[in-house]
Amino acid sequence: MRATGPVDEARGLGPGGHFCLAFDDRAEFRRQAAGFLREGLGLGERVLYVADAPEAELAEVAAELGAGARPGAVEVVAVRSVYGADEVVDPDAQVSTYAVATDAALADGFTGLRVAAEITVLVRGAEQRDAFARYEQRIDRYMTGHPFSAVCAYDRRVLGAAAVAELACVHPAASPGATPFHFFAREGVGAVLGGEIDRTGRALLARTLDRAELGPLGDELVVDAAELGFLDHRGLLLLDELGRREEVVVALRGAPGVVGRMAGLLELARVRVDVVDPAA
Amino acid sequence: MRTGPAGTAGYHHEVVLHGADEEFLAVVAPFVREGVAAGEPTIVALGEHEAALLRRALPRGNGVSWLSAAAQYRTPASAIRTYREQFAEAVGSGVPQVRLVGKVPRPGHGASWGGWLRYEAAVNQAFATFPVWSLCSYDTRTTPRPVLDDVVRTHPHLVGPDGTRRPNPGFVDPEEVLAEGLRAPLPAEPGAPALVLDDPSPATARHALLGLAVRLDRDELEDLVLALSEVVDNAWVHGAPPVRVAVWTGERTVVTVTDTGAGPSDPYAGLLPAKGSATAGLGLWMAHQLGREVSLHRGPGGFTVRMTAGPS
Repeated sequence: MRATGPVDEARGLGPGGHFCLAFDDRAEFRRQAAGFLREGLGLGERVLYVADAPEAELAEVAAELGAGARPGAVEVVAVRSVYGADEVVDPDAQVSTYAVATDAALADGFTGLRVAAEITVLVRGAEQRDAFARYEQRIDRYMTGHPFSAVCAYDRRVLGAAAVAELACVHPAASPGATPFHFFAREGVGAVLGGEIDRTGRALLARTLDRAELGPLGDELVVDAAELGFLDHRGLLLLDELGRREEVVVALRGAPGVVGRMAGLLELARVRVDVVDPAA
Repeated sequence: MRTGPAGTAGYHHEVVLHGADEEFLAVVAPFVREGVAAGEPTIVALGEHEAALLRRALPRGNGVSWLSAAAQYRTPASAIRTYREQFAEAVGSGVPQVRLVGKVPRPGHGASWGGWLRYEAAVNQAFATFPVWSLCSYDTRTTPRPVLDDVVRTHPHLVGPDGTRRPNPGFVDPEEVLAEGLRAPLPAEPGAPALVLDDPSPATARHALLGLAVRLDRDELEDLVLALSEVVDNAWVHGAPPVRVAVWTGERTVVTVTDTGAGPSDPYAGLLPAKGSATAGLGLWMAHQLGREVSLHRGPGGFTVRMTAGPS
């Protein structure tokens, strides 16, 4: 199981780890990225360091990480060479890029691909963030089934807390305080909703559900709610709205009992709550 | 055709004040028998003693829907909700009238009468559109005098122990009764609060409550945490700062949320899901549905919602 919720350190995230690092200091990114990538090298993975940094720093990091590593295991690049500069990301194209790179790593005998990317410059505008939040959801779905993991790092001083939250909330794990809730992918369910949802995250959840990348749906969208700490009635109404919009029943699996009692009182047509079994 | 005195009016709300079991039976048993004979769904939700009396007075296979008073009258707001659901279902099946014999639990003893006073006043509005003839009964031997005075003020129709029916000149506009209830002082809690928070966010308030050692089972605690969160949210959206949360722990857990605003303008706030907007007022209504005892107070210090959980 990969790490979820607030996470301090980008290590031990597990297979398919997807961590949003909200940093206030570039040195913090560099330290965390190095730890994360070194761990990957130890597991036989190919690692990729993507940063918005001068050539000299990139060369320094390449030397540090490359020392003793297998040839071809470490790649260090400037952010603008991976993603188009100042452009709006194309979610499908970007997922394909990483899928191809993951396949290549496997073909070259590595156990997988691990990326630490400082991508603040790609999400400065609202339109860019919107596209990137969609991309983050798609790549997250990809990670649940492939040997690919990532740390996505955003500079809180540049973007501000609200813009960081917009992206942090679509990662299974994020720096403490970066987002009140998490909406992400997990094998076997339509989505996972964890954390706490009240007035602080309400508008953010509404936008996140608007841009939810759910894939093909049947009659039911199963949302794993076992990591849901709190949901107020307006948050629950947002899920009912999602169900109406997508013409599905949103099944909240493993939700706290009170969510079931609330759904019963509100007589919601598009939400079903399968609560935690107290005996389990 | 509806039987009885209601005519075309929707809800007919009457009360009998009786001082003996025979008086109770003399009024209630014919009411139930006639309802069943007319084919009207007849619901009875009484305490154990009176339910047993009535059962003995009725033939076997009497066609009455016997409800557990403890479940039906779990809280005033939940009683309003479940009765409305039952009435709506009966009306949907096309019956001309539903009869109801009900008695709120232990009036004036244990659980606060204030909540049931709100109930008796609010049902006049809450049930107004349903073709329901309801007969409430209060025992003058066990009900405190001030409670009996309130009972008279909230029932538009009286039934004498001899079965005579008449309009009640002492009936008071329910909205006036509800407004008066809001002015009732906050009960004094025993001892100092275990926790006081000034201007907390809903999350801060929730986490602080969860950090206290309270004697509640998991469901009760979850419900109280939700109610607290919704009420603090309301205080920020509809009230005025400063917002203060206080918690007393003991046999029961008591939580108060005070803001310096005037409180809701809707006299039925909390008892009925709010009309008009899709969500306004639902938080307070939810707190009333889930909580053991929720009361509203308006005073010089502002507006307070008081919620209790644990044994009543």
